[in-house]
Amino acid sequence: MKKTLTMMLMLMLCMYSFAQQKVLTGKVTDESGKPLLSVSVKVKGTTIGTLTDLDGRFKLNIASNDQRIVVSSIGYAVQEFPIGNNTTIDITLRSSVENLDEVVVIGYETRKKKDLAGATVSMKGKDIAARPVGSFARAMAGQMAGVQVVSNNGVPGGNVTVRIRGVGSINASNTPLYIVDGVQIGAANTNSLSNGNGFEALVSSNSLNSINPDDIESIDVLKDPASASIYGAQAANGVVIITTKKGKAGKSKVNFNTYYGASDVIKKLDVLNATEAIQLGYEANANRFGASSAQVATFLTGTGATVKNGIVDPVANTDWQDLAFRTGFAQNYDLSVSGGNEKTTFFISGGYNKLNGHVVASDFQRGSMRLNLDHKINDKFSIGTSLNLTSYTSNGVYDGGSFSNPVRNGFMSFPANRPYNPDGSYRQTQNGQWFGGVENFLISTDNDINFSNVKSLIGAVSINYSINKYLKFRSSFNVNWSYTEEKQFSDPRYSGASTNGSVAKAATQIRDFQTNHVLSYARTFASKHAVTALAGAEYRSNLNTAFSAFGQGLPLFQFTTLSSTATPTQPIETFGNFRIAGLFAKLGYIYNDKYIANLTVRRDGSSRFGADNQFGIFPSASLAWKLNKEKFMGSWGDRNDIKLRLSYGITGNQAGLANQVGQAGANVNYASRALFGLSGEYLGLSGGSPSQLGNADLGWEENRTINYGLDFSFFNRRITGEIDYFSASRQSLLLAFPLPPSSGFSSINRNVGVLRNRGIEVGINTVNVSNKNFKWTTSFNFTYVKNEVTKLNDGQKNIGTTTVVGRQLNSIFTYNYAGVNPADGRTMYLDTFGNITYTPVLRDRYYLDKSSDPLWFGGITNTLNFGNFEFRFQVQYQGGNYIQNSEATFMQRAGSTADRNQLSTQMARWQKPGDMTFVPRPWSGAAQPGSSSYTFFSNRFWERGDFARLKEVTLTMYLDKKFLNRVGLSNGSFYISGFNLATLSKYSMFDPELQGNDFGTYPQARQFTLGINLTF
Amino acid sequence: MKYKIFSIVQILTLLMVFGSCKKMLETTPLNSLDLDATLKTKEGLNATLTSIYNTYQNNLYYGRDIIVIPELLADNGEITSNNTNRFINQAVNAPSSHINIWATLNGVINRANLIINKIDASSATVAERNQFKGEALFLRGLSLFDCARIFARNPLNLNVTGTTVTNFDLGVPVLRAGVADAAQVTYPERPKIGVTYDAIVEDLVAANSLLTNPSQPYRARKVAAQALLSRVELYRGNWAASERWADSVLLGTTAQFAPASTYYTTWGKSHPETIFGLQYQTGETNPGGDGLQYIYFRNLPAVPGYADVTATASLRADMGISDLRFQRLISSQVKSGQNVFYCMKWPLTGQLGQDDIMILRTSEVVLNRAEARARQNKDALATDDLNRTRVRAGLTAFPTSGAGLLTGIQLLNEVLKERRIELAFEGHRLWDLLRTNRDIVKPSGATLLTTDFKLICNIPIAETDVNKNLVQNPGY
Repeated sequence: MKKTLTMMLMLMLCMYSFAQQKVLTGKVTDESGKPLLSVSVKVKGTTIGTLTDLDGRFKLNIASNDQRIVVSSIGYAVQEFPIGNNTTIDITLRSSVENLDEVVVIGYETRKKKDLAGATVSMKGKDIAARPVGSFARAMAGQMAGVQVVSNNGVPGGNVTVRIRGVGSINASNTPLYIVDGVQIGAANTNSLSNGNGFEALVSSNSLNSINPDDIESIDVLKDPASASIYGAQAANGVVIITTKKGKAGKSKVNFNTYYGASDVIKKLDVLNATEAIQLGYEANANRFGASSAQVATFLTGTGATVKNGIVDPVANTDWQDLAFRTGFAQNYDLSVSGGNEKTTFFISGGYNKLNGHVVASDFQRGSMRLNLDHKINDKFSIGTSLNLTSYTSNGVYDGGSFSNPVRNGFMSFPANRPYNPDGSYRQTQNGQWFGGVENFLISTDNDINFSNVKSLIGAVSINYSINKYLKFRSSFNVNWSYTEEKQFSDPRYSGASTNGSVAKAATQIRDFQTNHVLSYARTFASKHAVTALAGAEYRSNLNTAFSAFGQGLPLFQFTTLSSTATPTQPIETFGNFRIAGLFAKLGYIYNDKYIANLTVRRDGSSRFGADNQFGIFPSASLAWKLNKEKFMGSWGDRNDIKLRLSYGITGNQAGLANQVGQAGANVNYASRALFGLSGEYLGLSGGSPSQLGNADLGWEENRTINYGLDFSFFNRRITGEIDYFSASRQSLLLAFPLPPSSGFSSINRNVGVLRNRGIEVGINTVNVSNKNFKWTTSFNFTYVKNEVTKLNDGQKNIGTTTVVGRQLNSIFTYNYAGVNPADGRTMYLDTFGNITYTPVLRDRYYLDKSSDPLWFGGITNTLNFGNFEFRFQVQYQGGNYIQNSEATFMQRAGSTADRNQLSTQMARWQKPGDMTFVPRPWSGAAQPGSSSYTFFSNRFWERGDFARLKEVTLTMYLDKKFLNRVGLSNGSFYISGFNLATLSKYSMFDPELQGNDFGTYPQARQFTLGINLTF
Repeated sequence: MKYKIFSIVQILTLLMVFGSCKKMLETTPLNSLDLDATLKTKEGLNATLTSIYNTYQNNLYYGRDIIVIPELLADNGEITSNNTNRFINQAVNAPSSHINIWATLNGVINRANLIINKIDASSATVAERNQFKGEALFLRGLSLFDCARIFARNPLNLNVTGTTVTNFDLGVPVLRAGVADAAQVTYPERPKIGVTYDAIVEDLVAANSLLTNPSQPYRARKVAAQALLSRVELYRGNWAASERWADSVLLGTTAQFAPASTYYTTWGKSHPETIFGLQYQTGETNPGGDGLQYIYFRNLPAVPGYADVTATASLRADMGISDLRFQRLISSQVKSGQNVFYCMKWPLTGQLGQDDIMILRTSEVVLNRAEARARQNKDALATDDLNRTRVRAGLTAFPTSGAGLLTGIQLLNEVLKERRIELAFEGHRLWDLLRTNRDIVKPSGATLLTTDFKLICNIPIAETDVNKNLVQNPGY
């Protein structure tokens, strides 16, 4: 049957050819001798060609004067063979070592990387899989030029920040568009309980968790508007396209991958022990009130300590960080089956991932299932589906400044406090046995509930119709649905009599339907003019609803539901929807594999735009020139590549409207409308009032970028790389235009701001050594990107101190710390004239040389293969920014707030005149008379964020082929990995891999895993 | 083949031109409505009216700030030495530390304007129109009066010391057209203070003629407009008018003067003196820990609170320890070693943040009339009014005839002293000192002239940066 079909297929192909005079047959195998299916075999310079069958065999009717055949298949180098007088040719294909032949998904179509003129960057699924990180986005860090991934915290499955080519918007979204197998997904779910409840540790807001990293085949990132403008008003921040694995016709393949791992915190902070903390607290009180004062006596009674000659007698110590951190545990199982025949291919996978965090009471688990199925109905019709079902659950802990945050109170709890009373009960605040105002966090981590669960469906069905050999039509129907359940419970035994326990519960549903219909055309004329064209329409409808409620007063701690509360309050129902409709077209032309030109245009309308400005046009053009193909390059040009690229394009940011600036009660989806909103209640009546003035002209933010690129490969493609320079003008940025408050309104949104963003990106891959026994490859990438605010509202020079015309966004305006006065231990600052002052005033602030956005970042990966072993290590680096170390204002007070712990550096406090130190004199209340507080925020607490980190080290042992054959395996390997093993940084808190403000951040983990990968 | 390419381009062009379909992009929010359409309905305007009362309940307005801060800017209250950092700058009269609610007040005025402008075009019946318009007029008048008190000098005390301006007679803008569209936004100038006061009185007189007198005092009613008119006329020195409006209140049957038997025990919940007040119902948003009770009073462990405000020595001296108002409405306690005197007019009668707030009450109207009469040398009648609150507080009555009859400045001083005691901590003190040009003796002993620029709030820069027509107050 199969053979008959193959014959029929070949017969049909033959109908297009003429003058058959000879039959050529052959077999195509890989380097190990296995037959290869669906390899293209073509007669050079003609349209005659065929595909190999299951046994790798092909049969061609050729003219007797045909000289050469061209053999090509994805993942292998294109090769040519002379025909001569042969009637059979057996061919062995070699794996391609260089990446220019790789296929890139660039939006409604795929192209070979070598035929692109825009700026894209890609990575393979194997560089993402088997990392114990929850969402795949974390594994992208440091791997792609121009793509910055900042983890921000170490919560298992927690949020990451992804920025493509830096920051491009002042008030609106900077998040790229994510597309999974053609389905556009929001990067963030609505997190109904996170607002104001102080725990980001719920991972429900990270919708990227719904993808099992092991299912990912490739990630392609469209960076410049010329590449991304096909996605129009959603593409200004770049597009991340995730393609999952598909089955291949041939023998069914069963793959099993599992790993186990352990994790712990990268480092513990070096804090004072109990005796030292009491010593500083004693000095702080004695310095201010006198050694024999009532305050000193109260302090010593409270801490249970005694003092002789000004020195505190040793007391027992509690290491609260040991109570906050633990050894985390990771386990992961992935099983996939793939295969198929010429008509049907499939990929089915199931995965289970469990991460117990290295901070107590935090975990993440995910179960996922995937079915990717493609079926050819007949020669004209085929249908494909991709279906992803995921459920992921996390238990979190409080974060930020909360006194229940175990991380923060791990280092801040007073070390003389015991966690438990002798009878095993908790020691608590204000019960006479506990010193200070910081709570015993164990009460919360042991008893409270911070739970979230997300169920997600990402599904796509597409129907393909080949109108003829050149013209194809494809209709896709996509849905992204998620249901998020969140719950918070505060134990009534410990929440205080006035609250008596509380319960908050939320349910959020997102339904996103998309459909697109694309007509595509591809044909080569006269073997020199390769023309591609594409036209289509797309529609997206997104609905977001949520319900939440809160209640207080629980009779027993075992009752944890809303129904058990005495006073259920705050029932909230939220609703939001938006719709986008677009038409797009793309025209590509390649002349003689030498000159490349592309034109793209998209017209998008969004329900978020104002009625008078509802549609935008987003055009782009790109050109490329393969210099090495020119005659004057001679044979050098056959062995090397030089491609020059130039592109210009415009994309839009419709999520730009999502952040209403400075107006209360505005809805993200209806920013352009004149709205009458709900406004409180009185005497049983619900109130409403004008909540927002309309702006019918409100539209998208624009990204206009010119991109210059160079792709190259030298030394027989041992060195390949690409360099891009871009200059982006981000225009029509959303700003609040101030209105006189006497009108009853404070501002209205307008598209007026302009930001310039320029950068350079370098990506280089080298094969350093390659021989039979040893291969060493290096992959390096570097990005430099810097922005500058160029225009705000007319006449407006700045918005606050962070957004200033002529400066980088997020600039830092702060005071200049000048250390401690050796004479009296007071903190000194420099005033605007460079003189010492103890009480700086507003005008003494100055701008730091850098902002809180990194200027440069990248990574370097080395892979060494020797025999059956592969050794791989990756370094990630980032810098050129400052981190706002808010925690330092608590941890560097020289013990002056005597009920909290301090960094051990504070022992170097000023003690007597002449002491040269950066730590001021301990002083109860942390502000000596006539000088500013020790917590006064100055450049003392803005720390450089530069770091380099050994992100990953993996040693893989591939099992011997003979052994594998004997046990019936086709592939098998063991691997051992370590993550975040070493960090080079001067940052004083846990981890410099974050951006902006460090305040109670759940730190990242050092992780080790041990895994097995088997293929049957 | 050329034809085919051409046809694709043709199809594309057609799609581009005709393909846009606005209908596909229609979305409707559920928690907001279209502004123009809603403001055409009586239900929309009714909800807008409700929202104004809700704003009045906010802790930035009558929920706390406009009641607490005038007491601290003047000489009735001071901040305890152990405190939560609230209002410490107002207590020491730091520049720009005042009641900065310009945006809140103008938001109320705009909403009231929309109701007044649009109610006639709605389907409201005549009775409903009168009711909505009457309430909106009263609330607009009260908020404009508050705006004038905070951001302009009192008409009877226009001098400003410490600046080059000696006679600063600008009021606050009188806006009468509601804004529901950016094109309707204006950049108003400040009229003379007299114009502002005329507008306030005009609103309240109109409200008086439209409103009736229901028994519940928690929405605007006729007697509330009359009571406020007696205060406003007092503020601008129209003594006869003030007396006349006070007569309207006190001769009517709606307002009640509470006897001693109920006066002290009903604070916080349905006080019989209430002419106009605010009530918080269970389940509604209330100021909670940001409310009056929390800042004024605690009696641990039953009544939690910040209790940052204590009565000054001068207020206590004026009261004297035999005054029942000292004995029953002031709580003497020790806080962190300091002897403190908490105000118990918001005593936590129910749940946290749910105590009633009296904005206008009968005793104030009685004292308005006492002052108006004293100013007109109606000494016996003035003394008669003065004695009503005194006697209730257990003090001896002043003689209403004969040689002991107080007259002139002596009588006026007694009336103002009685006003200080009776209305203590209710947000009157600063304005009463400003309009009578009596300098403020701070708890530290320092004297602050009532002409000091700091006693009038600066207009926020959000307004002056944008509205160049508007003149900032002197000194800022």
